[in-house]
Amino acid sequence: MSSLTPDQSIAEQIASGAIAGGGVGDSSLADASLNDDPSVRPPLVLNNRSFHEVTEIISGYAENRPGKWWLPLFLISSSLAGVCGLMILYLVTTGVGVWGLNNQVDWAWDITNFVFWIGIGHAGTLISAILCLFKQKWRTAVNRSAEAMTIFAVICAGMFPGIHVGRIWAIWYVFPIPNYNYIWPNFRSPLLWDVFAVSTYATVSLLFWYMGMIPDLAMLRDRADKRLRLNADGPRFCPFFRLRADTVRAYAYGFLSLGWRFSSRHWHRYEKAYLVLAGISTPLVLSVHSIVSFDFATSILPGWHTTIFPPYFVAGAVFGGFAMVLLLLIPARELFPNMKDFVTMRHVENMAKILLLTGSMVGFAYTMEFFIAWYGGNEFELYAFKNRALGPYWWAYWTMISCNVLSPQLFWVKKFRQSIPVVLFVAMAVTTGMWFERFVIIVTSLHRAFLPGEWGMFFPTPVDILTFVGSCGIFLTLFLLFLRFLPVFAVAELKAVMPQADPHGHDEQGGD
Amino acid sequence: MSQLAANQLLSEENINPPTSAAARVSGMLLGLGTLGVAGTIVGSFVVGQSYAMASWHAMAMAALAITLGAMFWVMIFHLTMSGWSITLRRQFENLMKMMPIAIALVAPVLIIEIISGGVLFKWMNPAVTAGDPVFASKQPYLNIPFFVIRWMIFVTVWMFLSTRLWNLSTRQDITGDKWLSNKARFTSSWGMPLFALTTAFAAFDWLMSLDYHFFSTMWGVYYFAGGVFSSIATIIVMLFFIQRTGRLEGLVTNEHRHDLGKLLFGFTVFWSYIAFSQYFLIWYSNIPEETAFMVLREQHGWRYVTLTLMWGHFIVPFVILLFAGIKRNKTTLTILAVWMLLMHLVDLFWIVLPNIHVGELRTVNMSGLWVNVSAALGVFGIYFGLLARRVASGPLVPLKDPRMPESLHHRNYV
Repeated sequence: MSSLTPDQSIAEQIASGAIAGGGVGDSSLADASLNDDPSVRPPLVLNNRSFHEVTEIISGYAENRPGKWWLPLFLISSSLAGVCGLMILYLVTTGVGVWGLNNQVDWAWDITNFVFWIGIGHAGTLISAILCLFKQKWRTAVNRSAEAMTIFAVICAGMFPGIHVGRIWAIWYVFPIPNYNYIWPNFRSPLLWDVFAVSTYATVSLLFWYMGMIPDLAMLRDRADKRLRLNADGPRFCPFFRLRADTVRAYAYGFLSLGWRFSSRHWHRYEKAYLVLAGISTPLVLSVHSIVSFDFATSILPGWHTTIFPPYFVAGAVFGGFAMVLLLLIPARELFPNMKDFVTMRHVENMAKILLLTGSMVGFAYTMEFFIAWYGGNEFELYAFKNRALGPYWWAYWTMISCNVLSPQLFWVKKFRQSIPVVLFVAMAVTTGMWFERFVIIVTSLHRAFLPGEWGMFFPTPVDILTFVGSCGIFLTLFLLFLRFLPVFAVAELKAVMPQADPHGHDEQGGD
Repeated sequence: MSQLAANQLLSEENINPPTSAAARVSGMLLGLGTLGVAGTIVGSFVVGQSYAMASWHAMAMAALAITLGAMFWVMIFHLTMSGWSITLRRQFENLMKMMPIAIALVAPVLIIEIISGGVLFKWMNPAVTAGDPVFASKQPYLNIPFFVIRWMIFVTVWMFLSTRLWNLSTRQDITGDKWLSNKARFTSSWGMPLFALTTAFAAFDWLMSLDYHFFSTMWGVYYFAGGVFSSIATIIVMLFFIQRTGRLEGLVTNEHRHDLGKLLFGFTVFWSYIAFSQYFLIWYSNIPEETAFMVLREQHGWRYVTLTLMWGHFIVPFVILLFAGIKRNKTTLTILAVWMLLMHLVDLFWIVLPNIHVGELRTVNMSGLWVNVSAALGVFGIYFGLLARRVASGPLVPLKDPRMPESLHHRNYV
């Protein structure tokens, strides 16, 4: 038996050149992170980077000019965000009639978008909280951007319930605020619980994300400050003022880093707080989407009332969230220099496996729903499900099935899990499929009520479509800003999983 | 030096099975089991055949849940390439290898049911279902031939998976071939969906169909959740007794126990989440054919059992298990694990027994309590008695697992 811990032996093997430090460029398919030998843990950071290099690379993303791709992308996505703003303005000044809603289908794209975005907001907290509790070291490379994505997705999600009420100036009634008319929200309604659940989730996710960033923001602050001191006559930010980019950075990052001084006392408290927040976030990840599912499942509408909804929605949310993480990180690791050393093929493969797992869980839930709809012996329930698959919205149903259940099955094959185009394709399919899942659940159940006179169809208007496309613009704009100005990786955590962090192995004898 | 330490930890006397102690314990437990079986048989004449059978069925399903839960954990450890759990995995595998026993314990009641024409499973009785339109629509699923076919499918899948995972692990003990770990991982990957579907449908067949009007899409997950946490509890108890014989010293430390405690905590919460979601959605929607299940368990004294589950299965252990010190202490963690196992049994009684009371005994039958205890002793006397023998049948850890060093060095705070 080897006397070395796996981390140690990998470190030695890298040092002695026995295995490659990592693939470079296009040959990343054969990189060391994909080492499948069960006796070694593959490295989580490739190319044998030193701590200093890691700091330089990651700070560089926030300090240097981004590639030529950044500005055009930003302009496009922020224009789309503007379109969303205009659509909302049009909606508020005109009324919800501008959407395709009608008497029968009175929830459609608005709530579909809400559930879609809130679902995407799950992966970040899952990665940072649950994978943290399970001590999955690979999370360190993806947690920061996934958490950022969570916040932005929740922002997009929070918009839709707000605007779908029609009289947006009355939205404050959703909060239990004392008022002279004694009008209170219905505390027995899951829609009200949703308000609490989502706002709690947004708050805790924001705290989690921000708190994790504090040491890295302080790092950026100190680097800016040091450059100012060493290079007092450096280039100015603007020719008319004595203001320099590093001055802005030193103050902005300094303000945000809350006086962090890298003292061991700070680190100690930081780690405690991180663990506590991870503990709090874990039930929150489950509760938010469970309560979203209650919006539907507490009703007696065929197709909505089924007891598996809470865990099924949570699995679906994680599924959609991870697909979005892949959609964002795969281009990012191509576009940013050296990012492939941190987000290795192993990371991509792990996330592909999670897609396979959660996709199959969602498939399991579809099976249970369909089986029980038949087994329950309730003809309306069975009709609702038959109507989903064979009724006028059959195309939505089969899009959902093929994207959510079938496409991830490609990941049974290792070659596909390790192929960037395939992973990207499946991630896109899953994102589409998860949107359609919510559409299927919401619209097909509503469009056929118990009386034939209450049957109707929903078709989206251009305003519906542009509002959704615009919300994607908001999401992408915020994410691009994050990539440009904030620390994209949790530097300290990333360094902690490198072999250098554990030079003696974690052997208490420490003899060798 | 750590080479030396590892060798000392993996020395013969530390990992060899405690044969004599196991024989003693096993004899005692099997004796209790025999008494329990006798008590159940007597109970079937004194209190009622259906009552005794229901008690036995509840306990056999509890044992099956533990076995399936252990198999789930073995697959999860392989799938996640877990390092910390290596020194524990053989015990999970021992528990998983109890599969034939668990299946055999469930079998008698099912066979008697099929022969006698439905005492517990009323849908097997044509006199009961005659003219029931709800049953008519379910008949393509709920009929004896298909029931037996499904039973055979479950048995085949579980036996195949548990045997294959066991063989891969024990073959590695001998050959030391590290690539067997990857084979086990591959088996676990396709085994997992098979496991999920068979467990869910077994729960539908053997528990949900006791009340053939009732249905819940969550049911399979609920049964699975019970098995997952009760298998962790069983492992904690097993480790306590194995370490009493002086084995596994330094191999299973408080660090491992801490993590087992966290899993016990986490999956206690998971069970509660599933149980609450199921209850809550049925309660809120108040649809007659579903609500009947819950209404029955809020009446006739079953309310107290329901409340016992709420407090004893969730609230109290939740608060206690929050403390790290309790999870890292062998005695306190074992006491809690025993408690959680008892709650698992109460949960299964809560599922099965109220079905029998309808029309026969309207209240919780305190005078029949001894039959419940006999059934529990009978099933678990036999189950644990044979488990003790199984534990004693080979080395206590997977000897040559390539990730063994990680487990030996496992620490929670580094």
